Amino acid sequence: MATVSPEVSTTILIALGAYLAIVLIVGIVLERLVKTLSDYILGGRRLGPYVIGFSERASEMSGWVGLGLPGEGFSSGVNATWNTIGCFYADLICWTLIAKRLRRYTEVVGALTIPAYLEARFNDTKGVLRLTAAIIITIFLTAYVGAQFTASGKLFAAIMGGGAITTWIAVGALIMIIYTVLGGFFAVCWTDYIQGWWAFIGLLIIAAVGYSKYGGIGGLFSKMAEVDPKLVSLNNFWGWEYSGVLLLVIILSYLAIGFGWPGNVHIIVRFMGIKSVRDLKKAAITAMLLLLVVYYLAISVGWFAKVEFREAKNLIVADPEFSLQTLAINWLPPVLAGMVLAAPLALMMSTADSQLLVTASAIVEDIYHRFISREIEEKKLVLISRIVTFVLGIIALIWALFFGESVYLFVLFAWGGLGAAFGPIMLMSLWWRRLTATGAFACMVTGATGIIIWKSYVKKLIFPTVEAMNANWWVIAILLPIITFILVLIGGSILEGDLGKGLKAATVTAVVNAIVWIPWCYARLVADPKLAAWWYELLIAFPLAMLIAYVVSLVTTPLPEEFVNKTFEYMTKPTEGEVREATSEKPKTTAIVTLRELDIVKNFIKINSLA
Amino acid sequence: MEFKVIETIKPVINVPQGVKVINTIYYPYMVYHIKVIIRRALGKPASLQGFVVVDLARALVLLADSFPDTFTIKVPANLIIPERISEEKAVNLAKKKMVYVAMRKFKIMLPPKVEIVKCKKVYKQFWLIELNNKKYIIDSLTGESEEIEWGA
Amino acid sequence: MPLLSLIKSLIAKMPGTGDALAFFIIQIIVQIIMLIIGIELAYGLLKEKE
Repeated sequence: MATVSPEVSTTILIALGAYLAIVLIVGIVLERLVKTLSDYILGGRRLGPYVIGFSERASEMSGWVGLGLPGEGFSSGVNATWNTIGCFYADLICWTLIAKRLRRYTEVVGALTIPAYLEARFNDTKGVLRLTAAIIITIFLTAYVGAQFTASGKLFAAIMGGGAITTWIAVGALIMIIYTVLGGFFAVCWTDYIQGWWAFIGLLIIAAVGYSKYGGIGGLFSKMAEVDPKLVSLNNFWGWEYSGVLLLVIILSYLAIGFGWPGNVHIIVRFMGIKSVRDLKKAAITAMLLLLVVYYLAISVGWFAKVEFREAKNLIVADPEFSLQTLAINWLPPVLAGMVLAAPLALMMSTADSQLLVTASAIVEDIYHRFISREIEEKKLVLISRIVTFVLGIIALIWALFFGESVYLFVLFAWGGLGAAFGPIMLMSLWWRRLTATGAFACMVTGATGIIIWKSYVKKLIFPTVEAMNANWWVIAILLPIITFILVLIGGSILEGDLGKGLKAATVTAVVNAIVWIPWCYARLVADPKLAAWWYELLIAFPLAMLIAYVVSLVTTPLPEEFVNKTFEYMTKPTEGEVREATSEKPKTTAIVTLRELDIVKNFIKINSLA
Repeated sequence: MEFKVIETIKPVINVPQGVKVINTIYYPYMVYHIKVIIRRALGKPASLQGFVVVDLARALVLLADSFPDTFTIKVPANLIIPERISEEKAVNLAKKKMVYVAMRKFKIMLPPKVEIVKCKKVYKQFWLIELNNKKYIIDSLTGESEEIEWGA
Repeated sequence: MPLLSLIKSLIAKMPGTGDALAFFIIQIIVQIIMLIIGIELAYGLLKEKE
């Protein structure tokens, strides 16, 4: 196993430290320069759409890009590009189908978080949807943060050349938690932006070295073919050749990664912050092009590593996910290597940081503020946010220590949970009028539960051995219908305001879940275990959750027609700001937003017979 | 008939030609200039200033660029849209909004101080006009208009 | 599709291994086309000037 010599370690650490110090200083300086506020809600008008698109991509990239993707590239060769294919179409769908409508609607109703959006969209005065959403977000986003901790732990382990991974994970976690909680030193947005650029440049440097060394894409592919023909085989994944149905399942599973996109709230929430539709377009283009560039760069890093080092055991800590780090240390002078290594760390920190903050605000705004204490002083609010952030960080650490596995798989779990729970609803709530609150609830519950049950099974929580699992597959199979039945019975009854209707919704949910989940469990656990290993849960959980949303909506009370009409009007009619932009008229006085006051005025006139 | 003296925002657009204004409705807002001071461990406290507008009829809080130009006018009290929230509540909403905004821009460790630099209650005019036997309401700032169906 | 075979023949001339390279390049091209079409459809023109 390749290790890093102590002198090189030290240099790298120093370079890392220097990088962090630079970010800190630049952040402080920039923040001093920005004197006034100016609509700096979720991103900032002054920053402009390109920056927003970029910082969004930066926050989303995380450890996936620095570790997961290169690992895929190393192990699967050219087929690792299925990751990109699986993500790009989804990103496109989000920008084209979700962004505009969501932004318009949330501007009108004033929702700043996804749970708040759900409450408004479904007129959920009891807050059931909001609470459920906040809980699901907490569970899965902390897992996602945990994945960042794992990633950073592995990074430190690589640099320091040894030591138990778990120790380094804890170290990484501590650093990130402190970074997030102590915060207050610099503005969030600017550092995301800087770090995004840094990571990007880091990848470019490695790519530049690699592509020039191997003579461009063509040369690289030839070399890959030379090293191991499987790398350029379109049937090879992770070292094995596949064909037929299994190959199809694998490809579909990669495409299913994209299913998670509309559900990942910390990405979606950024749409709400973009200032105008014209800006949305620019941000969309920037974000999507960046996705392509960064993902392909990251994957090719894995290719270089494979060609350079041949076998995983030659990589640092013998882990393909360390392709980037091994290359950096071998190809670049220590100072530069340190800075390239800092790039993924930077991304992890900014991702973990924003995710912790999103989760904390979900708890504070959507749970505490909404249900426990509506009249809250600002002082208390801030203090509670800080405490909650810290506690969440600890929970994430526990997740990390518990999972301790590849960053790739860990991220896929969190991704899957959020994707299955929220993905269908985000898409359907913006395009389908008949979606009901109970339908949305059943969908969230099904999606989240499905992913959790599956992961528990895989982690051998339910049955300790593989034989036991396969023999008792039916236990796994009925868990989903049973649990969702109970949850939908409770939630549905509250939402519908009627136990009978809740029962109906719960029954329908359980039946549909049983019909889909049981045969699938059988197929996966008994019929073909190899298939089981490859089938990404989201491939089944997402369509199932979507089906549930559809069916349950049809058997539950629809929202009032006028409410729905108004809702969709808000989504599709250009807002004030858009019209003003389109006609280039700017009122001379203020930017007071005057949406829908006309209704109030109209009512006033009618009531008082002033017409 | 009771009258009230209020501050009204200067309309941006003019009443269209040849149109009869039946009535003018006044829509209440509170505009605040708020300063949030954030204490930090390193260096001087940071401050964030902004303008917050509270829509008193809908209890909505919005951000604005500046204070509007206004003039004083005496109007019949029955043309003023009633407020749904008290001024005390409005100021709390405004302060909270600013703190949220500050929280997204800075990471705040200690509770910040919130100062109201200036506040003013202003009203926006909506004109109820008649044109070609149809009645419309026009927003005096944006020109947005909508037909009102009489007899509803 | 003539375009596809054109691209394929161009790629065949490049050094490297045909299928894999073709797969890589084609997917990039397809995605860029999707991006252009998608953006134009969703954001093309600002409608409804009131």
